[in-house]
Amino acid sequence: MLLILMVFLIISSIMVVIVKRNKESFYLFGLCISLAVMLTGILLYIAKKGGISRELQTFFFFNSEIKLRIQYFQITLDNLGLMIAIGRYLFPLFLILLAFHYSLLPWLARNYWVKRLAFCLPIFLICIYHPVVFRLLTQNHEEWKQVITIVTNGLLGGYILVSILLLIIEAYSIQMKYFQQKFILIISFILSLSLLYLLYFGQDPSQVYQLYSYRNGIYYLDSVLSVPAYLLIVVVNVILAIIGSVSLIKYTHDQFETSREEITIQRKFEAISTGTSVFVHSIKNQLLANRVIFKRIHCSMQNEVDLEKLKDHIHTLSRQNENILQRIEELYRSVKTNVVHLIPVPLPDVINSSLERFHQKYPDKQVEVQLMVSSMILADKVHLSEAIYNLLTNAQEAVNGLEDREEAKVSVHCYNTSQYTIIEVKDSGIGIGKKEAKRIFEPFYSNKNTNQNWGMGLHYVRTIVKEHFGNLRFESEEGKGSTFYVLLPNFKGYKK
Amino acid sequence: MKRLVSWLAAILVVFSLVGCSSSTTSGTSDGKEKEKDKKLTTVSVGYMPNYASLNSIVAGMKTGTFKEQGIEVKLVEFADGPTIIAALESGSIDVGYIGPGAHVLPIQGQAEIFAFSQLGNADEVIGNVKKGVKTIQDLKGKTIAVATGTSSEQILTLTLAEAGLTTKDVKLMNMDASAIVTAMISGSVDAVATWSPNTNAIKKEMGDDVVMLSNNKRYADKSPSIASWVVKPGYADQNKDLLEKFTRGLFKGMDYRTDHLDEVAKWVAEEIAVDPKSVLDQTGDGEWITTAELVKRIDDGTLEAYYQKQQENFVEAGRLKKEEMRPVSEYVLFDNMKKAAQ
Repeated sequence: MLLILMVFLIISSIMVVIVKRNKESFYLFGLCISLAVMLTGILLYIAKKGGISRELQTFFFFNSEIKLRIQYFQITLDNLGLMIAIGRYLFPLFLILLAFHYSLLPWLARNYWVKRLAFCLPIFLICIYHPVVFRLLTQNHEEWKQVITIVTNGLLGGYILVSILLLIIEAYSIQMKYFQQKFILIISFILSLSLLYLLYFGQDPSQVYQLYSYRNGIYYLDSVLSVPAYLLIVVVNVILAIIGSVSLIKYTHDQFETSREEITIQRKFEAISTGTSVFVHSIKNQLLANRVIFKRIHCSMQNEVDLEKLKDHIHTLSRQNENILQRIEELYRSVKTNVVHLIPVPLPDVINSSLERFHQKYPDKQVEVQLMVSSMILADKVHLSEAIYNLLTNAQEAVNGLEDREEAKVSVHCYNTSQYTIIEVKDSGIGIGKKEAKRIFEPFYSNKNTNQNWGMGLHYVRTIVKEHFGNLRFESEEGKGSTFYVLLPNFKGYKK
Repeated sequence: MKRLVSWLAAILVVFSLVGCSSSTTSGTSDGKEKEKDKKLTTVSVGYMPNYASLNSIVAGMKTGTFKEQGIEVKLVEFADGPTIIAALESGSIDVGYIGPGAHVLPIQGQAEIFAFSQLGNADEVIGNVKKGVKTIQDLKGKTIAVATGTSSEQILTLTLAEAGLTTKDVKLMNMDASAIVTAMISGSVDAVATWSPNTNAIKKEMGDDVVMLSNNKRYADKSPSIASWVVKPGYADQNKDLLEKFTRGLFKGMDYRTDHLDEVAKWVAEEIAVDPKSVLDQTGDGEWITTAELVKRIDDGTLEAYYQKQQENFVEAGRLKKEEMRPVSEYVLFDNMKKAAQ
């Protein structure tokens, strides 16, 4: 049974670590492993040295065959003693680290060195209890053995007492009843592990490699408790291990969910405020410009009416109005959940459609086109060509800033790989800086004039590509240009 | 979650009840037996799982010699003598059997010998031929598995001394009796010092790959390999009658054993749940004397001479300081033996 408990503790602590990879689960894992190492060592010692009743033997090892296998396990008594010592001195360390972790006492939070200091004693004790060191220290000083045992027990007792106190204080100070209940279940599990640890606390591991080194009996071989009492402890431990592990996962999960929710809300708020700011700023500028034109019309109406000027003003107003409508239309298209209808479309049709729109905006600009494939793709022609058009206009705007006009070059290449049909839009423009690169897909992010550009272009491209089950990637070097890759899945249904 | 907790709590209660009820049930089934034996006093006996340690006790239990004395024997298995003495000290057993190596502890005042068991021939030093250990001289610089504080250490010290070596000339690996067997078979060590039936197990498993370098017979003249029955200091004074009765039951078992070596070997095999043949192989591990012969040796001083010689050997081997030597009669209870033999 004790063997099963140890296996159970190890498995459950590993599961907790896998589910929640945080300090807390790591400390709990350490706690279970160190206890398992200590108890395994003691069980090995008991199997080898005997001294327990048949009933207890059955309880510990199930049957004589398992006991014999353990008994004949090859290990020196020095290593066995060291194994027990390692488990014995690491358990209080993990216990106190766990207590420090949970504790919200301001003094502990301020003094980080306390946590580091906690490591010193267990490591020191493991060194002292190394059989070679222990023998060196006590060879000609019998009295040292008793001194080391008493001091060690006192210090370990202190660790355990402080840990338990901190955990109880923490449980008492949690205000929310829900979290308090969960926390009490976790510390019940920790306390049950401590109870198991305390069963053999009074014994010194040096008795394994120095039997009869001092008058301390053979407590490891004594039946500490009756079989029913052992059984009760094991069952309680298993139950509390299940409840404790579940509570720990749930407790950290709830905290994680709360913080994730907060982050999501914060992000949404930031996006909305940025969008609102860009939108309001842009509309305000346009309306202010309109007000100036209106003032001019008003002035010209008061004096002699100059029809030519009036026509000019009306024309400007009309252009501004169209511009605002176009921008709003683009914004609406970007933020609205786009429903794309994917149908087999020849890739050149999509590219030509994009180029057509591009040349409407930039009639005198050239785009180098290389269509290595004329395959079909599964796409929504309108949306995808709009996305490619966005990439092309971005590329053109990037090369517009170049002083040497001959260097300015925008190209679109299409080719197939084993998995993807790739549309590559390349420019020899100013490139994108590293800091900027992290934000270019964010909505409302733009480094251009916000009157004309609301920073929704690349966000829109990315959304459309995702809707096509594809990927959008880019490479860029400041001063040398950028390349955007639209990776669309190959359309297998089409056979030439 | 609350439902889970209540379910688990219910399971816990059921388990606790099962735990309690199982102990109650066993009490009821044994009730009649206990009623019958209610006048019996239970004596917990620490033993090692071999023929030499168990033969008298098991013979006494089977032939009813302990019950005649009003004693119920409860057996508790241990790996070696020093552990048995430590168990006596902690109070987990009342009496125990020790081999030659652990006798240093009664001399140092940590136990009292209330009965002689036998002169043994169970200890051996075995070398692994494949590792180049064919003679005692080959042991130099080799790795040897030993159970310190036991007769294993004693036979090794004597063997090394014969080759002009000390424990500093070899590499010792302190192990328990079972691990010594595994270490030898797996080839982790070059030689071992251990006792029967471990010696038999090694020889059976490794065949011609091992060679016996020495045994107790080889040093019989200078180092008697004594095995004895011990109690913790003060126990004999406080339980004089009980100890005398126990010794009487033990001696009667001893006498039966001397005449029925093979039958007792089977009983021992049954008790420790091993193959009877492996126990029959151990019937040559000692000189099995009767109570009459024992009394004769007490009266003529032979027994005292054995123990005296043993002290000297311990001093020679460096395991006992000269100032720790004391009169044999201070820790060997000859009176108890003589009274029990009457």
